[in-house]
Amino acid sequence: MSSATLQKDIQSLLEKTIESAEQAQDLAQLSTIESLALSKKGALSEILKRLGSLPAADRPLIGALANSAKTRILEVIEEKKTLFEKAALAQKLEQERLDISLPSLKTPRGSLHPITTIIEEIIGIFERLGFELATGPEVENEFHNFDALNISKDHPARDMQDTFYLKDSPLLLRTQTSPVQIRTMLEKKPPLRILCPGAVFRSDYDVTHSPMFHQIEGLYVDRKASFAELKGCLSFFAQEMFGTETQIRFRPSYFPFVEPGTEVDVSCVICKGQGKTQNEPCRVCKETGWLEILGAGMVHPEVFKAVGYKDGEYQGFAFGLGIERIAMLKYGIPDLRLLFENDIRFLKQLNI
Amino acid sequence: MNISWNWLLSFFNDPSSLSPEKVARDLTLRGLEVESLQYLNKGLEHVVVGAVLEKQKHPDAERLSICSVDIGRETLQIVCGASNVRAGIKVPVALVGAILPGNFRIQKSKIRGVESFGMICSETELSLARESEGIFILPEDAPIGALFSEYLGRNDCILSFSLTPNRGDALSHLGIAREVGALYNLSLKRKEPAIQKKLPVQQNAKVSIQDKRCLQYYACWIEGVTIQESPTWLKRRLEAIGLRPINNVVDVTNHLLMELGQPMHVFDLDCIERGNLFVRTAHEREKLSLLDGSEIVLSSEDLIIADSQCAHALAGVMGGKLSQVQASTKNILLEVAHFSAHAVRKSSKRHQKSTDSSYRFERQIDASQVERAFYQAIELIVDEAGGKVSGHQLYKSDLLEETKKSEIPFSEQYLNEFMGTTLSHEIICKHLKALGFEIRSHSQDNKYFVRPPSYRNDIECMEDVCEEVLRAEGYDQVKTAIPVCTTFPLTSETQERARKISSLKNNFATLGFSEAVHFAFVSADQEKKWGEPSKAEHRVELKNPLNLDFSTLKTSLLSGLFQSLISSLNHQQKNLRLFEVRPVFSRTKNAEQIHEELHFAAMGCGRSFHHSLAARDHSLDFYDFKGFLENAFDTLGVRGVKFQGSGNDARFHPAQCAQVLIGNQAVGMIGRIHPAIEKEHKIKEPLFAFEINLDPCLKAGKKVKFAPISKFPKMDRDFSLIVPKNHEAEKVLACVQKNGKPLLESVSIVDLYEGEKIPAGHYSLSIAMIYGHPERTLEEQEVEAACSNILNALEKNLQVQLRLQ
Repeated sequence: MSSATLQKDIQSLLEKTIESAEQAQDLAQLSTIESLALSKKGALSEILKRLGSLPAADRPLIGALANSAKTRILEVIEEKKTLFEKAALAQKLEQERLDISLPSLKTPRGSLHPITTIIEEIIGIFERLGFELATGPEVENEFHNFDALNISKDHPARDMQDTFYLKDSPLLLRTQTSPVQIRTMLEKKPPLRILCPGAVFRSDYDVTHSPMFHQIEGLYVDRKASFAELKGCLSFFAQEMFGTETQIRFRPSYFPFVEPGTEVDVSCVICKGQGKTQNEPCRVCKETGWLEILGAGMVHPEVFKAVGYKDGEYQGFAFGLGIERIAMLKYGIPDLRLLFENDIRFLKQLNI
Repeated sequence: MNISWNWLLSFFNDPSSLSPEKVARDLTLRGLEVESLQYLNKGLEHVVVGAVLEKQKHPDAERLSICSVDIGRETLQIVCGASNVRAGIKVPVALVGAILPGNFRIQKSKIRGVESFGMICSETELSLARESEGIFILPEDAPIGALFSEYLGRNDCILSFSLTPNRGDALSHLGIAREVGALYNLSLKRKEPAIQKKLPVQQNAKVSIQDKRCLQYYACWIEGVTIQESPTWLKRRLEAIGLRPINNVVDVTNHLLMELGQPMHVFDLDCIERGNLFVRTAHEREKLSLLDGSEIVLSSEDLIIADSQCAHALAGVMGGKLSQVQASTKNILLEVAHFSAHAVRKSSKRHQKSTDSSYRFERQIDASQVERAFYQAIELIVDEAGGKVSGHQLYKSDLLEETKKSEIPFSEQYLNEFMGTTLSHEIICKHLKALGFEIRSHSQDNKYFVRPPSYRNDIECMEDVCEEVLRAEGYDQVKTAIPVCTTFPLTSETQERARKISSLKNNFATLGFSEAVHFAFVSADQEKKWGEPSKAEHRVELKNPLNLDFSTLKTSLLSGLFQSLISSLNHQQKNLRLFEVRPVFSRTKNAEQIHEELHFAAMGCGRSFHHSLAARDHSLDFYDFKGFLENAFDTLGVRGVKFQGSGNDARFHPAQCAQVLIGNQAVGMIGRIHPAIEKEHKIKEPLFAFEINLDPCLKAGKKVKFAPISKFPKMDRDFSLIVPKNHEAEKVLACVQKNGKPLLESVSIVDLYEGEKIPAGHYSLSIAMIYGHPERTLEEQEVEAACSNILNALEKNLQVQLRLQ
């Protein structure tokens, strides 16, 4: 027995094992190859058993050789193993492939009612002018809804708003949001800047009238207030609401609780005030180029009297507008009744 | 109100600078809104009067004739299909280029080989009648070549006004003319009546005024009138503004009503007992047959005109049938009066008769012009119907003084401050004078007194005068200004509430719900079905509902949501979710006040995610809705919400519904809609809903406070328990929580199982517990002790056992 033989055997084992490792097909084969070569009863152990028959001086050399062969085999097997694992993982992942085009588990989207959207938009505009929200009940008494607003019992103005009364009760469904003005003024002293949105009721039902509809009312009261300031506020509002190119027009009008009273028109949002769209008469503004959007005026002295403010102590202005009309203009809704039919196909169109 | 342009122009000497469009626009900007302009000759611009000279048969068409028609400047060949066309008649001829009503263009054409240069028209084609047979044959005196519209008197334009109720003074041609005059600085032309000097005083008959609501009454007895058709000019004026001519006498009164705004009435004198009238309060239940054919039962609040036998007119509203002027009438009694606006309004409302007359009385007439109108009426009646005035009577009430206009103190400085303008003294005075105000200077301090004209009953205070000045100047002349804010408002409770409601709505929209808005009222039937059972005795009904579908105020929002859901299902819509936020109403216990509470309700059906693969989705169920509602409470910051089984609400499935409580306060209901209701409406899938009272929820404040985060490890313990079926899981959890204190931090349900291996009448509940201590690591024994404490309590209190594997 010579060290050369052992050297040769180790070398040959190394080469053979590497070769079979290279050709291994899977992890199991690899593990067999490893065990055949390196386990306690494996080929390398068998070779080293013969170490004792060598001269002592040769043993370290052979031992080192065997160790390096073992390390090399383990390296090769490890490399190969990594390759197998990568391939196995890739295969496994491939099997997990998703059809990413399938729909999600998203919660369906709902929507806010256009009336809510418009009210919030208007509040947002006036909040920036320092107006704050005020609310009141929908069932009102005649004092808040009429008398305090300078609409006396036999005033023809009561014709303008046919009222729903409650059975066995002097109470009524408010015909306007103005009673909230009265309630607020009875409760607080000026300066006041309030906005009152809400449902109101009038006994009328056709294409352009609904027995319930929505208004938003604004009230500004201070020691001094002028018609010019009313114009300033409403011009700001009109441009914010309908765009900076919007023209605004003030016409004298009559509401018992203001004097002077005014009707406010904005240039038609459809035909941009031209009265015509593509040479066809504009139906929205009936060719006038103007849309009536709100009523306003300086608070009538009788109203201040009714809430107990001293004569001449305060001045103020008030304005009110119909939410449905604005919603119809803004979204191009042709029929008022659509707003109360709650057809899901209609509601969903106006997604938030 | 309709105003005839020609009639309006008759008030001015030189109206050449005016056009209907300009006046309509300018008056609208002065607060007298013109809604529409209508040219009566529209479509008749190229229609003339022609004479058929000759008629020949068409060689190739049996029914057609070839006519030569003289239209003055030339003779035209026209093919005509009407059977009544013949030589010698006068006809309206539409010339080539005419566009007849209905956008019908007349062109030069060949009809079966024969050229035709125009069309002979029927009344229908000219839009003068709905139906007509053959062509329109004109009277022989129609002038050949004249513009047909001129011949018909239709060269006019109608301005349709929509006036505000304060402007009673403008409800006539005179009233509008006054505004036009002030606007363009034109003086008004009016003929002064002269007849008053020649009127005999009545000797034989009398009108007795017995009610002080009659402020002025002028009567004239005229004998021997001839009732006939009115002359053309009068008929045309009335027809132009949409009134039907009746006879000369009635037409005269209608004409003056529309010209001056002063109502008047004529009685057939021979129907009046002895020619004596009484203006008096009606007797209760007295009857009166009116001109419109109706019979009314009077009340003791009505003001009437009667003779000694019976009532003849409802004052200021309508005359009676009995003394109506007819073709046979010979003698008449003319009434021109001034009744109190209040009285006329009351009667008009009570009997639901609104007439041109009552409309004007209600809005107050010009008290100073009643007498003058009376003389004008007599003159015109005598002119048109002949007859002889046998007597007249004038009555003015002492109360008339009170209607006189008083002076209003006025300050220029106030006006300019209040309006934000810088108008000079001269400008202000110019405008006021043009509008008929009298001005009296007081001193040098820019203060003066103004007196409105007699017809302006709406001017009462300085602000009214300001508006007049501003109106004349033009609202658009006021420069805009920015209000000076003297405070910044702090966030109020209302604001806070609104903010919460807004985030609630937004949250529900992202949860797939669409916001609905329904009316506040429903039918009694619907309310009975869907109303809140506890409020059944406290419903609020309307006294005057629009119809029976809107008779009762809602106590619950479910009816509306249900109706809309059904209707959407019927439109083949699926997977529906709706919510609504609005007040509901009930009477308080003592029934005197109305309780208004803000409700929030939601209803839905269908699938949870609308996913296309069924396996990945599920149908909405009770727990989805419970989750939605809990989500709402989270948004509002409400804690301590409990769900309590409750089976006595007929709207819900008795075993799948719960009362919702905050602490001990019931705030609403949640559950599946009763399957009987689903079946009744043929709904194939379950509907779920909840409704809560938002008021208590909005009061809850979300208090956010920092708590230290524990650094020490937690210990987990799981139990599988055998629970008797009569105990809800919630009860078990509550017992665990109570007895696990203080180390038990949380407990949750991980599984629920019934079936094999579980004893009958029981179910298995698996719970997971987390133990911990904020300041130290727990010892094993402490947790074991807590666990056995819990198990003991469960067994003792609820007969719950640990499940042995």
